[in-house]
Amino acid sequence: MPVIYYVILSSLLFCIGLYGVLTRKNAVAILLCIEIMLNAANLNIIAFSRCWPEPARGTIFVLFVIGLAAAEAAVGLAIIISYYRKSEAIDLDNINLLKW
Amino acid sequence: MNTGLIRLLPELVLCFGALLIIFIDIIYSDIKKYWLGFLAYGFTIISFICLFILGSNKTWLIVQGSYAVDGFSIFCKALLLIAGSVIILFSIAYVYRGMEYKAEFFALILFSLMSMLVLVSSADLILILLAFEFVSISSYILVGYHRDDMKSREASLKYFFYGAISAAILVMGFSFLYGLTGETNIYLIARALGGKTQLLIPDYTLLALLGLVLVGAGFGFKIGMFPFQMWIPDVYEGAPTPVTAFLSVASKSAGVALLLRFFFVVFTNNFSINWSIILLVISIITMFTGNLMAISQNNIKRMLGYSSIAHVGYILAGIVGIYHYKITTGYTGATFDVSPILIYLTAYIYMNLGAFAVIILSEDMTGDNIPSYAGMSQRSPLLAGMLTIFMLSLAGIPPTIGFIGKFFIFGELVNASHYLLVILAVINSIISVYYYFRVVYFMYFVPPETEKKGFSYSLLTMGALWACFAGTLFIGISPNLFIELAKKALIGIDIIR
Amino acid sequence: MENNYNIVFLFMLAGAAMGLVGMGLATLIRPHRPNELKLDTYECGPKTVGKTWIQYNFRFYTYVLVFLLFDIEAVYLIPWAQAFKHIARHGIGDFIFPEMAGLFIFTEMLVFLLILIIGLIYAWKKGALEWTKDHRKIKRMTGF
Repeated sequence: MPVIYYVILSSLLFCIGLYGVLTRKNAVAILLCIEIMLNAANLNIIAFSRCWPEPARGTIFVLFVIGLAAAEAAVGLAIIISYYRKSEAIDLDNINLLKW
Repeated sequence: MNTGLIRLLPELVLCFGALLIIFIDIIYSDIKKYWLGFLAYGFTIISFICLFILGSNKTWLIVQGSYAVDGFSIFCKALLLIAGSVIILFSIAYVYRGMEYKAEFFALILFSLMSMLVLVSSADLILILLAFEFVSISSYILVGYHRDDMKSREASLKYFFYGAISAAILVMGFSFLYGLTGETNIYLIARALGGKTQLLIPDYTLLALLGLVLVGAGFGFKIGMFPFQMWIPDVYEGAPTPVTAFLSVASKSAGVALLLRFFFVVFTNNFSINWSIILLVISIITMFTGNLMAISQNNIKRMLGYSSIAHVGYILAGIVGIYHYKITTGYTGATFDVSPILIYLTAYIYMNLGAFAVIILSEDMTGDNIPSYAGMSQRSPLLAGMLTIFMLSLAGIPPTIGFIGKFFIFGELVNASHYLLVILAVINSIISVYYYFRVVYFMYFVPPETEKKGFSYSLLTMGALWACFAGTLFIGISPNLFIELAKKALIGIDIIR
Repeated sequence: MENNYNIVFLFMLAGAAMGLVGMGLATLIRPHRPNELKLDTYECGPKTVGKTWIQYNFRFYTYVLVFLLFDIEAVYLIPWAQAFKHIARHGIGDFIFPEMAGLFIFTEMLVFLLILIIGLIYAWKKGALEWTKDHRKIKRMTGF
């Protein structure tokens, strides 16, 4: 299959993730949308890597991105929980202490 | 042994230091924590010495070409280490006074500093990504370090979301660059984009533009350029003050250095898209946003946050100037002279660190609000005087280092005959005088509301403050030696031939 | 290349058809007499108790974090193992002792593991691995 199909798919996924990030209010849902965006990029890299004589480079790139996403999710969840502990809410509408 | 690996010594020292601090904290859990702070400070100094010993103007590409140690990266690393060590000095007293998890604070600062050093000399997409995220993730934790302070948590949450989104956007941009060229090394990508090796599709404009915009957005989040600047004031206000200083100085400088290397290496040689037009518009809007929003601020940390956005605007203007100068003169050499930006970054680091040192010292007595600085000239003439000098410097008034920085940026713009941009930048500087001098006005001309007692100085923070003060004035008065140094820090474009 | 995916698609169709045809036929043939007991949620015979959305113990979170450490470590072992295979065969160009290349790469991985192990020791010493019932301790560990 030509690579353009994969690129279109991953771009769609990326846009879905971005849309979710911009519209969702729940902190955990936003985290999931960010994961979707990261995985869209992963898909893109893997698809592109098949077009080149040395696909291992792309594969390793993706492995590192996966590790990075895991680290980010771990710290992110910890931060969300730490916030939830005091405010009892993970709705981002309530996060309005700091503005302007 | 691999011969080039010794060049990694400054980074390795910092990493070892951070691990050692965690280890000591586990084994001897009843140790006085400020010793760990001194240990962290010592490791930054050792790292600096290693950098100094290994420093040379030659370009080394080590670790399979993914790590570039050249004049530019060594200069930036020196700046970052100075900033980091000064911030550790600030934070020893601050952390000791009231923070949980004291040891981890220093370990995180060291880890973050290490990843910044990696960031400024990484020349591979994977390494850039990892270092970029490492800086971000340690900063998320540092920002939320006041766990009982609602503002700190909220800042941490906001910073995390913005940072995570920026990382995702950055990876997407990298994926397009990788797909187009089949390489992850930025020098090889530059060669491929310059037409020396085959690309995925011959007409690369669309894919390259996607990569350029997405990568620019990802970096833009880190340094706070216009459409992505929203997080800066919130995070700066909510974070513990030494962490605010760290973010505004070290993190931002590392981001700017990364942006410089990446854009000047990847998107210059025979690259058909003239991105400086986009950057020109962004830099103007960034300047105006920062300066206009700063006027109405009452919280001094928030005001400095907006002012740092404005400073990013000037830096971007400088980048535009350098790039345009190259285009107009048809320069095709192998190196790029980015000394105006480096001088500006140095100025920014010294004066901002100084301002934050004063804020940290007076925080307990006055709080963060600008009106509460009223009558500071009577309560502490020393701090008031110093803060005045730093505000002068931030506004870019001679004989301070801030003036030298602005002078070189504007000079570069005049060289590139960007007169409109110069005029706009000067207008912005004039706007900025208002809100910087508002602080001075409150300190000198408004009497204090109630009789308050004087200040108690922490010796270490005072030392750091004096160092920043000396740097601000000394380089401002006799900048020649320093400019010589900055002129040697060149970015090599076409290292791999 | 395209043929492979067509076969996969055919398999998916066939798999879906098997289930759908069976259920469709059954719907056509069977008698339809619902009552309340029949429509109830089935849970091993007895009546369902409580809601399906239950809250897991918070202490799982620290466990998961520590698990994640070694989960991700395995991911990074793969490229290392690949590079090891390559280098053990061909060596690295600028090595002073080419025959020591394998040992060097092995040491590099040991350093990586050492850093991870320091992380584990940290978590252990801070009490993340204990399933304590002492509420003060839990509060200290997790904040809840």
